[in-house]
Amino acid sequence: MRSETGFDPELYARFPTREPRPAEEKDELQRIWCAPKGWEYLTVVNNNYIGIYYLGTAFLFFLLAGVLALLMRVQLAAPLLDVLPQATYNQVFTMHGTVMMFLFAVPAVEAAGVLLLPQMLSARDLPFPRLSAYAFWAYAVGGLCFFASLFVGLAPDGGWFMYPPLTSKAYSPGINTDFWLLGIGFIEISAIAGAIEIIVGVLRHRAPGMSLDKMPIFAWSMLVFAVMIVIAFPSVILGTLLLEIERAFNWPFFDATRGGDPMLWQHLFWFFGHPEVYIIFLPAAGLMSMIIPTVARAELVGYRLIVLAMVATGFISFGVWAHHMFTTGMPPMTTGFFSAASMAVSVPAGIQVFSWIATLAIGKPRFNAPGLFVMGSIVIFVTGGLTGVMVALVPFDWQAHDSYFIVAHLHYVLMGGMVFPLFAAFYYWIPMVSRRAMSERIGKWVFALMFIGMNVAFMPMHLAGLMGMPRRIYTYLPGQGWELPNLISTVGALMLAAGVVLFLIDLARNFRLSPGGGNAGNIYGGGTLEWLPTELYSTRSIPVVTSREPLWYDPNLAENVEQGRYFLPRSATGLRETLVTSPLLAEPQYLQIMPGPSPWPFAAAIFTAGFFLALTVQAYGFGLTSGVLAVIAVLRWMWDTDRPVAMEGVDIGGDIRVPTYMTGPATHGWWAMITLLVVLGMIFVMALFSNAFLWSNQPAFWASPPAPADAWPILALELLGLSAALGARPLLRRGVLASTGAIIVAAAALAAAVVVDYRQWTAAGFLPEASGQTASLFALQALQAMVVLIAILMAGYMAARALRGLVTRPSNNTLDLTALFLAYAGGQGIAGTLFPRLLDIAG
Amino acid sequence: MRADPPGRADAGFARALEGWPPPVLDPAGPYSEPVTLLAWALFIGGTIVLVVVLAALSVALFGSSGLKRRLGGEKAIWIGGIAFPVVVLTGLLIWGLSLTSHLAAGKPTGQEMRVRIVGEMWWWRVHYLDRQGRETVRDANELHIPTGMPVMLELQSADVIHSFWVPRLGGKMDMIPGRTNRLMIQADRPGIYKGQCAEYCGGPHALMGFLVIAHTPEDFARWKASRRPAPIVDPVARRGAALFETSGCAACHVIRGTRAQGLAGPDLTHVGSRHSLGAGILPNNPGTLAGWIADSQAIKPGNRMPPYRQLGAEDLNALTRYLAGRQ
Amino acid sequence: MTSWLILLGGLLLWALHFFGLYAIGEFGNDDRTARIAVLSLTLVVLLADAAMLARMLRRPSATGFSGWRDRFGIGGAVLAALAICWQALPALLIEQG
Repeated sequence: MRSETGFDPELYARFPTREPRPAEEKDELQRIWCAPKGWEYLTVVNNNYIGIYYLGTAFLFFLLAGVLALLMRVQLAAPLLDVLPQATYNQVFTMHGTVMMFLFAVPAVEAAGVLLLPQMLSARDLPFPRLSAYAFWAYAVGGLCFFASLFVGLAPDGGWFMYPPLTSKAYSPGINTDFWLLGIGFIEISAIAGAIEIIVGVLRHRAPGMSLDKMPIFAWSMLVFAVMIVIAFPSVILGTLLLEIERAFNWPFFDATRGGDPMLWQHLFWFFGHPEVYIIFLPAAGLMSMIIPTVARAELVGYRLIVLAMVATGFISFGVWAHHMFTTGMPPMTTGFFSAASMAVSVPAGIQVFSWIATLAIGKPRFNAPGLFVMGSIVIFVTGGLTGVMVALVPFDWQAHDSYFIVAHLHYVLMGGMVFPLFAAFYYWIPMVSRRAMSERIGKWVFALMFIGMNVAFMPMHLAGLMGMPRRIYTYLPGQGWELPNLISTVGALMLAAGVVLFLIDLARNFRLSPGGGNAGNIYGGGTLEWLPTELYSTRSIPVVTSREPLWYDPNLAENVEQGRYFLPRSATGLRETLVTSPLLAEPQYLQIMPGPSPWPFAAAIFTAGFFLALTVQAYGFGLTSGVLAVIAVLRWMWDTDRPVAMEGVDIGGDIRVPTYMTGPATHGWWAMITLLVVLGMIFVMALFSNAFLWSNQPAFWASPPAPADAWPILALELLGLSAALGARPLLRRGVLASTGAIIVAAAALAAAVVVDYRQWTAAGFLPEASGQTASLFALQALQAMVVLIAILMAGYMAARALRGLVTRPSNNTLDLTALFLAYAGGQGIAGTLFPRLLDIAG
Repeated sequence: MRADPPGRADAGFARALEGWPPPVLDPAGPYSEPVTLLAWALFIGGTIVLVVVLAALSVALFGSSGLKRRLGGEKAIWIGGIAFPVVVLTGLLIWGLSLTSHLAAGKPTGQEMRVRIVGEMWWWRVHYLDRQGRETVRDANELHIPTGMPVMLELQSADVIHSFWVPRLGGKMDMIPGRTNRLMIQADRPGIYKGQCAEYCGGPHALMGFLVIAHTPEDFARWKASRRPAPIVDPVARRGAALFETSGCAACHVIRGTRAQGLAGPDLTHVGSRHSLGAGILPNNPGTLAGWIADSQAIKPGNRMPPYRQLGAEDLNALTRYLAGRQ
Repeated sequence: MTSWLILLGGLLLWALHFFGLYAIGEFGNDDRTARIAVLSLTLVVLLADAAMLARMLRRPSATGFSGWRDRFGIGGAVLAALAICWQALPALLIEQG
């Protein structure tokens, strides 16, 4: 394949350009991408700031959850201690797991992506800076409020996996569980916003010439990470939604006495929960694959195999969820499928480990702080991987499951697979954002304490598990031989903590944030683009990439980039902008105008948090107001976007001209909308699965649905909605009025379909509280109603823009995206109308 | 508490070795033995693989340039990261799957003893069944079985999810509301085998223990024959029996042959002969029994039994005497 | 689109196979039928994987991104074949209880 978009790759030969660039160009870039002052720190959207905020907040949660871990270790140091009373302990272990998984691990790697990806890909920013800001603030505010529930004794206490019926109203009547469901549901939304950002950023914002085979491994890992979030998170979003509905409105999804099934929750939770482990591991492995070549001063061995390993992990990790359920009495053959997939997923991990070792072997490894953390990480991760193979074997898992053996296994995997790589990354990339590098001397002590402490803490837990010690116990009886391993574990945990404290001291002494340049620089000699001289606008010009470590192969690259001898050496339009390139070969396509700082994402985040927290404490009036304000804030921030600039095409350097406004399937907005629709589609598919699962598992509670033939008026309305939505795009050639009219017709038809469908079920005597069947089918309708409600909002927004003359002709992005969403809503409606009516006939 | 009845091991040294060998590696029957063998194979194999990886890492870091050159290349990945794991994992998978098939409980064949165990927050209801699945004896928190005979457990839950696990006799199996899961166990030697709830079930989940007492077939027959309500002999106990019905105990507990028919708590018809109190957490003697009645919340916080601190010393003594006699 | 199919084809087949097997296990109940369904699905998916692999191996070796992509696709198809075979083992080795 020579060209993907018709762009002639010969044109790259024009770079670096020769003629000097005017000095004002750089000043203008600095002015456009200026640093915030005072209150503006709340309204910044630039990835250099949001990335640091994000990472800092995630690290704060690591420390908080770490303190909880220490409390637990002290409580378990000896049998029958009373440091933490039972109820507190149950809250503390629930929060430790939840905070580490949801508030530390996923946000931390997402933050690393926000901070590093634009620099690595040489983009000016991520594609939707305001969305990043929103995702961050939503997470920070929501996360801190969620954590604070611990201080008032209202923290959730059902375990991070929240199995009903323990978490149902009958056994957890307090609002503790609601804190978990709403808090986590809300933080998931923020993770999904980040994932959409990263997918579009990695695929569309790479430096020209950076084809997929030249992309930094970290970008690959973040791409797989983000796609996995998009597929996996909807499942837990639906799960939390259903459980909250069961608690609030008594719809029995998980209540076995009324035709629900507690196993449904386990499927929904683990379909997210196990990919989650790889969602955390892959980006960290990507960081490893970036650091190791620099530490070894050698090119990565087996780049293609590593990428393949990551992509394969992304797939196969969706086939292992039920290995958390080997002891639930699933049919043995089914357990076998999951056992086999759990084996298969370890092969890609082995590929990566041996690639790292081979890279260290061809190079001359240095034992600096990042190097030590990377090597320690390999040892710990391999150990965790080996115990992982053990528990993938069903009979062994029958013994090990839910015992301290698993606690040991998962901490080896997550410490080796995520925490140690993250610390390596801290030492490696801090010189990129700080005026001073971290201390190598202290770094070695940090490593030694953490590495030894980690092994001392978790190795004995294997033994405790084999001695029969179950997980999640707040105390234990003497005389079972558990005293010694537990005491050793506690000592190790304290050592590990000492290492982290020493790291904090190092951070306090040496970390001096400098987002706008003037940082310590490339002290380890990395070869990828983030080590180019950068300021808030990223690099002065965007280089043409011809290899995986451009800085190693072109010693003049930094100078040429800084002198503006590559793409986009100035602001072509006087606004924030970046280059959008094609997904496979990264050929320049068009110039994207980017939004600048705005208070609205911050406001939207505050109100979103207010909405969810008010629901938790049942302040419905306040919650509703907050929700409405959040929607208004989002619409207000959107209002500024999608404005074409006067210049239709601009010179981006080397006499190459690209358009400044584009519509249709090649645009970044279109890609983001498709990704969002995949998220909604996955939520819906999981809801269909829930319906089918209850049908298959609780046949005694199944009533015959209304005849499918009677559904024709609903289907007719939905088809009308679908076709009106599809017609809106071509109709724009006829005029804004025709097109907007089609959008409104589509929204109205779909809304009418929801009402008619609901009436048909209720007329047939179906009520949501009656059984698992009715609960799950009304859940389908609720989802459809929610999507249609959003569609109506979008149609209204579209109409408002049309009235204000903001809809461009012959084509317009806002219209395209509204029409896409409505078309999706139509499709989902048809599926949701037919599925529950046909299910019984299929059986 | 392990296979040896408590009290037999007297030396301090033996006490130091409590918990050793670890129950998972000290199988006592055919449903745990093959897993122990698998576990040892996994531990030894895993250690070898770890040593090999560490050796490779050491070569990569410190090795001579000749050795390093051999290791540095895609060939190393193909051999170490792909070919070797595929061969080993294929073998393990076949072993694991065959063993799964061999150990998983099928439908009752009529050859095994059947018991239904229902998990409750935070104790265990035990129903001994006959071959046709009809209940014969009811008990709580401990299970008596004959040695050498497979026992099929039908596991259910009355409230939230629990998990049944006696590591020396077999793997664990969850007790899930709305389902009946089957688990096979068997003890080949007489003894007491300890277990504990393995699925987090809220509150005092940590203190939800269980004992399996394996008898020789002759002893088991004798034990079974003794499952009849014991007569009340002394007058103090007789007063205890009256108190049991008037102080509220009978609202939650059954003592067969009396008017105490409450179903919320454990059946106490044979409580005096149990090895433990409070679901496997206290040795059973008059002192602990009195302590439990007076304030079980101090011993097992969060359990469903209210404290009976209002009982005077004499009443408590009478109740204890009565209950201790329920052999 | 072609490029993405080459890159991900093998693994997509794996996904198809895995979720097919899960559906058979979860929604089917008859022992013998389930086993036959598992094995026939495996056969079909393996044939498709093999056909894809054969097509990719017959392509002239390219340089640059296309060559990388093709070799990547071959790796993915091989890995998928392995995982698919493992996945079918339970139907041969486990008696449905």
